Amino acid sequence: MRYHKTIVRAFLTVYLLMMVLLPAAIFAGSMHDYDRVIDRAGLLSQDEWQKLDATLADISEAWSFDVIIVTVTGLDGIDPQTGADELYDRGGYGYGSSHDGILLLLSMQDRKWAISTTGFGITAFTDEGQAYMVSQFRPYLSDGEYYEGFNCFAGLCRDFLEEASEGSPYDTDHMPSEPLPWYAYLGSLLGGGGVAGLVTFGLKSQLKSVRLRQTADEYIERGSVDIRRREDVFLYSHVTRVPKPKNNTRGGGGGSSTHTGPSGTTHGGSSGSF
Amino acid sequence: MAQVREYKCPSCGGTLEFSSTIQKMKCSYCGTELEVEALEALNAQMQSERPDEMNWGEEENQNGSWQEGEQEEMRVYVCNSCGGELMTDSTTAATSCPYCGNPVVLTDRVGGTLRPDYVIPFKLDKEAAKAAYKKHLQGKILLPRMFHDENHIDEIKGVYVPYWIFNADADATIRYNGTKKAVWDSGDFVYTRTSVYSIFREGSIRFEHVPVDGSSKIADDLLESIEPFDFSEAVDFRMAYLSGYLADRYDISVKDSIDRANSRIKRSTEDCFESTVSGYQDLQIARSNVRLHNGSYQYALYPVWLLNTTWRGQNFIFAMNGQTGRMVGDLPADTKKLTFWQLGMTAVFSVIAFLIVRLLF
Repeated sequence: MRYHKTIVRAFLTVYLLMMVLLPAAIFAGSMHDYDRVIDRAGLLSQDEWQKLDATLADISEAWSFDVIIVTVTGLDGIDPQTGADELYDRGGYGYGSSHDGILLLLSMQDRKWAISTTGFGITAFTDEGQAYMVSQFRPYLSDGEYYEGFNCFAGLCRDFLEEASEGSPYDTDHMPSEPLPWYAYLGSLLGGGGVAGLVTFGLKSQLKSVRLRQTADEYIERGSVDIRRREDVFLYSHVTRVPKPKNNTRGGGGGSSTHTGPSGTTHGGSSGSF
Repeated sequence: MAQVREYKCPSCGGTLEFSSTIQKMKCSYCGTELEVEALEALNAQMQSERPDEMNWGEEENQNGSWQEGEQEEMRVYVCNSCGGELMTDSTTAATSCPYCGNPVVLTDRVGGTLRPDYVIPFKLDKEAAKAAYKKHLQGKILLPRMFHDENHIDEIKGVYVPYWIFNADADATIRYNGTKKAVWDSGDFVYTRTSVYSIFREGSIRFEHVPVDGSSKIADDLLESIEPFDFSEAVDFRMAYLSGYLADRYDISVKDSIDRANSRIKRSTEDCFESTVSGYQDLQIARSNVRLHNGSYQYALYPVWLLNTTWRGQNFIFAMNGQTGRMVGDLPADTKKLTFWQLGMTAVFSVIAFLIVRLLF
């Protein structure tokens, strides 16, 4: 039974690769030696495809690190993570002996995405880092704005590579600064307005010097205060208790988790739905 | 017409005024300076002199008649210098003749039962008041530019303001409710022990020379804002001190003034007693009893410089303590400047707030 399943999987993988790599071969020989956007699901227009492919080529060449985007109509039951790993390995992507690169796979039938990282990609794209990237580009994919989503992914790859090349890849304790939500702007405006209000209130109170006196402290005869009886009597006491606030510090050292693909290469990655 | 008093210079016959700088009477014509006491003595001699009497017994024609009540409000005096008629309201005690400008004291307004017990003579002159006013305007960013114009002051006048001065011993018994809190943590809980105490204080305190202004013409808050006056510099009242200044007699009786003194004395007593209670996180008066005894009061005139100015049809009054130089008076805010600052500051602080948010998140 198990043997049978493996056979089926291997067959499907080969079929999948055929589907993917065939068009790649057709376009080969254009600007680059190979295509980095393989749109089997037909999500992009020709124009979009060209622009996106050029962008990925730029990034890949600049960092000597392959950034690949693949879309397929379906995976025929293959786990998206495995699919992404195999597409990367069989496609022969990756720079250098460690095959540095990242691949984003979109499967339209079951609306799944998967990221596979290899070599330096495992270092540069940590689990937390990938989670952040996904949070940024997934909304586009969910809304059907694939070109925007892929561009967002490409931009993020550029940022992550830049950060990782400086020796500090984005991770749990070091995440890229997200664009602030609208209420941060509103809050800043209200806070600023509030402080400005206090300042102008201060300036306005400079102008006020006339007020009734509540006390006659200046007219207490010196040395006339004589307090004859002082009593501080303890009446009762009561004790209340509240639970200590829990420390919510997130544990974990970050980094990347890895797995070994069918072809024996070590990959990092993540997958999910959109 | 003995009700109008002018102090004539024994040397030249000009009119004498009390000078705040030399604290003596001074003739503005020939420069003669006289002690107040000496002048009073001279005046007493002159009062006993009798003029020639060649009275034929003819009554003066009394033309015109006062409407009912009007005469009580307005009084007519005759200036000793020029013979001009002075019309004053019922509380004016010292003024100047509108015709010749000579200072006159209306003796019936500060004589008999209306005679003040003490006076604090002016120590600061008109120039000092002008300087204090200028200083008062400094550093006030929202002030309309017009105010800095020196000609903007409409009127500066030195006024002896009638004050009731109260002295009393206060016996007080005050009970407070106080709480102390102790916080510690043990295991998974934070514990707070709240201990409640009843605090009792009994004692006495003496107040000397608590002033309450007896004039309804000048706002109470304005006059209370230029306090305190130093009563140790008060002298027995002499009419001559009023010469050259304006003066009013009281129009609020001592009975109507005493409540104001009481409330201030009570509050001060409570504050003073509370300062002897310490170590509590929360303290509230549960019951306060303040009983006054050995109470007495005096009638005194205190020196006040009043400045008047108008801006956009609104009247602004400033007061300076003629003894200590303390200057007060509310000022308006320039709406343009206010808007500018409010918007500018909002912009600046919003950017700062945004940068902080940016840095933290």
